[in-house]
Amino acid sequence: MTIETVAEEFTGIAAKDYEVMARTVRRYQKAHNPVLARYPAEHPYLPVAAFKHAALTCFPPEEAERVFVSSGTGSGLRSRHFVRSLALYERAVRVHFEAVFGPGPFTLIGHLPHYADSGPASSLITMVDCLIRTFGDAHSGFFLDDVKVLDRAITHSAATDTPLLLFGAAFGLLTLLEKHPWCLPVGARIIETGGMKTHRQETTRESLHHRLASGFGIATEQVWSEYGMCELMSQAYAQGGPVYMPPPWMRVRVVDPAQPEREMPEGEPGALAVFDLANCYSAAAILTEDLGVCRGAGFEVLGRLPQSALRGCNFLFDGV
Amino acid sequence: MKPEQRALVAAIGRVAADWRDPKHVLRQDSVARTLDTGNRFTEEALAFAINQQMAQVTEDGLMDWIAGRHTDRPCEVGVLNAGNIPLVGLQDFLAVVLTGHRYLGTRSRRSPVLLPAFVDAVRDRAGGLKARFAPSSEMWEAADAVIATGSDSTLAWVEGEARSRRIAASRCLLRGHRYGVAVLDGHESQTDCDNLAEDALLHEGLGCRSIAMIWAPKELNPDSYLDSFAAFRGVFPAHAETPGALSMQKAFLDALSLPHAYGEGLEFLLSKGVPEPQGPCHVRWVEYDSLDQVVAFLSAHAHALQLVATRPALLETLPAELPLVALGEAQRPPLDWWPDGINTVAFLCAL
Repeated sequence: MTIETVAEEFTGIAAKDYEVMARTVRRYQKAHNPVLARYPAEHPYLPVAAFKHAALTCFPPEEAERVFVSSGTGSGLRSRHFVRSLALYERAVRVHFEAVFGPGPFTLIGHLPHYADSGPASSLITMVDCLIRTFGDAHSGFFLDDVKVLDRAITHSAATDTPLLLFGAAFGLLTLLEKHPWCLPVGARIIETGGMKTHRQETTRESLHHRLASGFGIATEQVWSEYGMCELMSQAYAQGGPVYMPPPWMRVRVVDPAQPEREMPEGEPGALAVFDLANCYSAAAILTEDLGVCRGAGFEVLGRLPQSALRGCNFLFDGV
Repeated sequence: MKPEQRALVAAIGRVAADWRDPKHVLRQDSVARTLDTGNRFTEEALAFAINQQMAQVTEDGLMDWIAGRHTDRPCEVGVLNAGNIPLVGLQDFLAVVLTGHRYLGTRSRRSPVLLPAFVDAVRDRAGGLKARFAPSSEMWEAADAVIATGSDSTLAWVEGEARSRRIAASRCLLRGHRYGVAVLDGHESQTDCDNLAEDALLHEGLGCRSIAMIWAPKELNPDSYLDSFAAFRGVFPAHAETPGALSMQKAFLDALSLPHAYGEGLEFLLSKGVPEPQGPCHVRWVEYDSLDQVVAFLSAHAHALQLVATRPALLETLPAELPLVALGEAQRPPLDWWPDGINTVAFLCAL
């Protein structure tokens, strides 16, 4: 199997083909990604921070069709993900979205303050834009301050029975609720895209979803979540509960953050490690800085795993 | 001081005196069982921690610290123990029982023996000691106040649990993730260098008082500091798991051609780079042009710092509002230190 075959066929993957494709990607990246060429094979995942320090590509970085850039960190270093093919990225976005939500059409609204400043460099903006173009009706679009966009979408959705999907960063949605409560139509869903740490205070996911459900006039089960990052071409969705399900071409493991070759038993917290076939031209095996727990075929995200957390001052690691 | 408080102080002091003897049977048994548990404690670091803490738990030391402070409204104080370094929860236990509250601690899976053994020994000496250990579910059922340490998201969970059980925020002592920083100026003596090694590596870099980041003048050669790190490892060998845990990080630095140094057998790792704390036993070396730059960083990150260690002569040049200590004091906290800058005894007396 060639890397081109993987790139063309990963979205239609059968479970039995996963390992073959993964082997192809590993071999290809070892041969063509200079950083991974130097990274020992006994370490199955590359720490995601590598995206801050180098262009992790299997091609000349200047040939990238798009460079996704992460939001800033304390150090000022930002991750940069050089995307060889935007079409490949959009295919991964579309195919998994359709598998989870159906073919649409939807009234699809994006409320992504802060990310909007990044424009095309934001993978989140690019993803929602792709979804709007592919699955959205004429009332779909982005908004920041002009809440009439959401008002009109609600009216239209209620009148036509077109399901309303509101994609939003958690802190932005909470800010939206401060203006006034909303009443989304029957069948509407909120898809929060992370960012639970508000500029005011940290909140738990459960509490956040209750506040969103209550403020937008929907059931908690209608508050879904998306797990994605600029370093990954694919996304996972949690469908009204805490468990995210990845697409068939992305495998997520929960591992010991210090020794990622050790998988944690189901139910025990650890670092999320991802192998994303859609990252076939960059780096597919990534050790994230997210703390999570394995739940069957899916995973739950417990929060961020800063390096300071590895110092152990956290009773959660004790499973008390 | 109330008579029962004085009696408890005496009992605790006698138990600590027993534990100062390395041949004390209960200590030996607790250490042996602790070393068999899945943690990153080494025999040498365990002995250091027990000796250091027990040396301070004297009758005089306890009386000076508590100074007769006592609650008139005793309640059940739940303590979620982290167990990341040996006896890390000892100060909380002492503060709770000596102020007259009832202690209800969770048993750390990584260190389930040491603190409970010490508490049992105190109970044997002081009849009616109001202290017990229980699973967290039971702790939450009974607690009237809570002490916990964790990340922002963990503490958000604790706050949520406390709220759902109608425990007011003022009755929760929540400590965040912190780390230690050292500031060098290149005039460190051999002793300072050796102290820095202890501050950074003693507990395999675990614990919020361990030095995770060193600020050094640009062009300062780290060799003499690295020599001290290596010498320290001769006396305090790394835990068997440390080289494995550092292996991926070294591979990461190698692959990205980021400057770094490491000890023989990968018993520690030091990397140059931006001021971000790394994992245990991986110390970040950050270069500065002027001390103003360092002060700006320390001030901006004061919320994340447990302490800032320097050679004694340099202490006066840094802002007094920072949690300053001399090199060599990071792993030797006094009995009355305030984790996260919060006075635990005052918190308990205000309940």
